[in-house]
Amino acid sequence: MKRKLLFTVTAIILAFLLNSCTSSKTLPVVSDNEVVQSGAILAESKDMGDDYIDSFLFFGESTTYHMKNRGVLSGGKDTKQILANRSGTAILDSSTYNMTVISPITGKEVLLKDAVAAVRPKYMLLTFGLNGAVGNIKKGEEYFRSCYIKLIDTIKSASPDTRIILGSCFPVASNMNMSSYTVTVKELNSYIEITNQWTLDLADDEGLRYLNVNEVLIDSNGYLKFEYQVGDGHHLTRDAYLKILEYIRTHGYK
Amino acid sequence: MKRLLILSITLFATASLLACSNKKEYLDSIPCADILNEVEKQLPIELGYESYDTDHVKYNFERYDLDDDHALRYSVRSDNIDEFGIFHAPDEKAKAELLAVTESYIEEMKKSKRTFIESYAPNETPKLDSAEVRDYGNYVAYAVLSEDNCELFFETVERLLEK
Repeated sequence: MKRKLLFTVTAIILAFLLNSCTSSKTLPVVSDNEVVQSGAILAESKDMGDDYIDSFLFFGESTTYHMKNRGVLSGGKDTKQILANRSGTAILDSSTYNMTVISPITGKEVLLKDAVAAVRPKYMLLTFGLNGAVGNIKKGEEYFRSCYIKLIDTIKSASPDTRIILGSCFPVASNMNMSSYTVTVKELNSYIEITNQWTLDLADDEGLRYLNVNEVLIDSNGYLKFEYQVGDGHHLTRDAYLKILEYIRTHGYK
Repeated sequence: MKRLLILSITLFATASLLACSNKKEYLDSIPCADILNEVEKQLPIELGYESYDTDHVKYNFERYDLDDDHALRYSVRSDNIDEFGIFHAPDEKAKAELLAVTESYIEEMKKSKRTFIESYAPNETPKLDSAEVRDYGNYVAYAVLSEDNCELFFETVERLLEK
């Protein structure tokens, strides 16, 4: 009787452990011929090519805008694939969904929803989390989600067929100037990690996709690889952007 | 000595009466949105203003249950940090707390947004420094505007609310 009970309990524990392991949001690497659709995280796929990248509209902080400066997209420094205002950056807050941007079509300042409606991109990659990182942690996940959801809903209304991908916010390097922050570099990277988890959870809940670009940017200590930053600890080199674009192509969303 | 004492008391009483009669009184039932609609006419800007929704108050103000009416507006231009708002409190006690909460909102904005604004719109930074909160009766108003526009904002609000 005792042996039967011990066996049953052991079997239940093993079953529970096995179930926990397989229900993780992290997906395994798949074959070159397959694009995995399940879950939020975009897993490794065949290289989708430059046409795939050309079908994207990118919107985010200055680290997104600098793809324009580095000339890594079609059109080089005159690319029409970056959505931004005149200053080239944005912060995710309760007014972001209604901000003005420079229309890639007309070059005039218009509301974000009007710019998206004019372009109607096949894919849109949103990347937020560094600007206002400390404030986001202070205000909490519910606030972060509410700001992102307003933005996502605005884009969906403007261009219902656009496939929205939420990207991981890039980490910062050890030489980041922290004089204007009230936290250390390590703490800032941990905050970015937290908001990235919130972003992944949001993508999962909203039926969107998540691109974990940080896989190719992060060093063993959780910092941005030193050789990928231009000297200020957070803006990226051309090589870093080429790595990011390669990652996007090889983690395709079909 | 007696005469000096009587004179002192008379002067003191006169001064007190003058102080009481100079205390301004304010209206208490003008909708906050109406006040800001008038403000917008005085402070027109390119592309106009948009209203912050209730989420903004909920997540950015330490207390969001103190007022019975509010209106908050911000410049739609993303390189312009103009914003202003007005709350109405149901009573003096709530007004006092609201005043503290709104001052805290401005202080937090000055600390947390300064770096970002300095990097992307440095010309706007002086507006953080001139940001101010004032109260008029049971109304608490704040403005994040240039110094001149701040004065115009508060003049407009006071003119609308003064009895």
